[in-house]
Amino acid sequence: MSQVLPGPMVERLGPPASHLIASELDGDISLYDPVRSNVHVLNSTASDVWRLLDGEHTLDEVIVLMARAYELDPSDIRVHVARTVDVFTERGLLRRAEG
Amino acid sequence: MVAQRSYRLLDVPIEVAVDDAAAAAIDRVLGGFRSARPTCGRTRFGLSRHGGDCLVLRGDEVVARAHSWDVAVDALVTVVNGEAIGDFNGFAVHAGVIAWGDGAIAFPGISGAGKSTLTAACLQSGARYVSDEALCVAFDTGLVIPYAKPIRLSESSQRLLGWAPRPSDVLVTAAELGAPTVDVPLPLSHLVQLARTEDRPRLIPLPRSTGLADLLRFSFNHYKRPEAAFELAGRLATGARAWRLEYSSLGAAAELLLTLVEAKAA
Repeated sequence: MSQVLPGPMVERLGPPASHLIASELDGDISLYDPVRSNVHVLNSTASDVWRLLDGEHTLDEVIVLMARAYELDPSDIRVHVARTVDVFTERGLLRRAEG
Repeated sequence: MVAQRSYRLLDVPIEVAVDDAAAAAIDRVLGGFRSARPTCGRTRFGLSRHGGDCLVLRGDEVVARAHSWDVAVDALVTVVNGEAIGDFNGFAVHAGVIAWGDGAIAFPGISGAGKSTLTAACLQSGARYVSDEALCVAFDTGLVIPYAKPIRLSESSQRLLGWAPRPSDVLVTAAELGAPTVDVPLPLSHLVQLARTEDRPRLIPLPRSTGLADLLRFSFNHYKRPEAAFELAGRLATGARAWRLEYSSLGAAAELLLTLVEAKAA
């Protein structure tokens, strides 16, 4: 049995910034940011995280969903998912939606 | 005496006033780009003699000075290549490009990555020539436009190809390598990353998104029409297979690339 630690994260993540243009190739998502003239090519795992950042899920929920999809313990992937979300945020790829 | 030469590189008109003594040298490397149409109103280049120097002119400005016409023509090719790619109205990526079967195989990469050398090796193995400099694609059709500039090979490249090297860069044409040049647009079928190793050559499949990233990373001009470039790069990457070619021996790498690409396409 697995459980998500630590404490509740109620902030909902996303949705994607409205100015981004997305393209998907074989399940991998690429994002073009015309404001910063940057392209972000996500690997398959980061693409799966990205799909969950729709403004409806909290970080905890994203971790649980990813763990379920990859058949892993949530505590084993928490730091990686959180870091991925941080990178998306730092690069201005997400809008914040308060939950 | 001075002769006028009109060229079209990537449909960019280029006009050169050529000292008669330089005519043979420039005709050897740029003859395939000769245009019967005059190119009025374009920047004019020149090859002229001043004292013991062979000068390359852009308008009235001396942009290069050399001790032989071969070296001056080499410099002129560099200058007009920059002019052509700078004014090209499609999507241009720094890459070596060959044709095999019905499609183009591109090796995007920075200068020194081995693009020209592998291109020459592939031509020696039976491929057709598209470019050693740029993957040029029309935005509307998504097809690769041949840009068969002369291939520049360094002394070390000549050595790798098994030639008796000259102690400087040389420009060679596909015809001089015994290879045909592509003269019609064609689809992009493969994108290949180049990686030197000490091991025997391997061709490793990559995600198509890697191809998209490489097309944009090595593009000369994506910033001019960024959204269109992103869209086109996505289309190109969708239609092509992406690979990494790890190699040490050029000849073996070229054979492996052409053999496996053909097998995968079958």
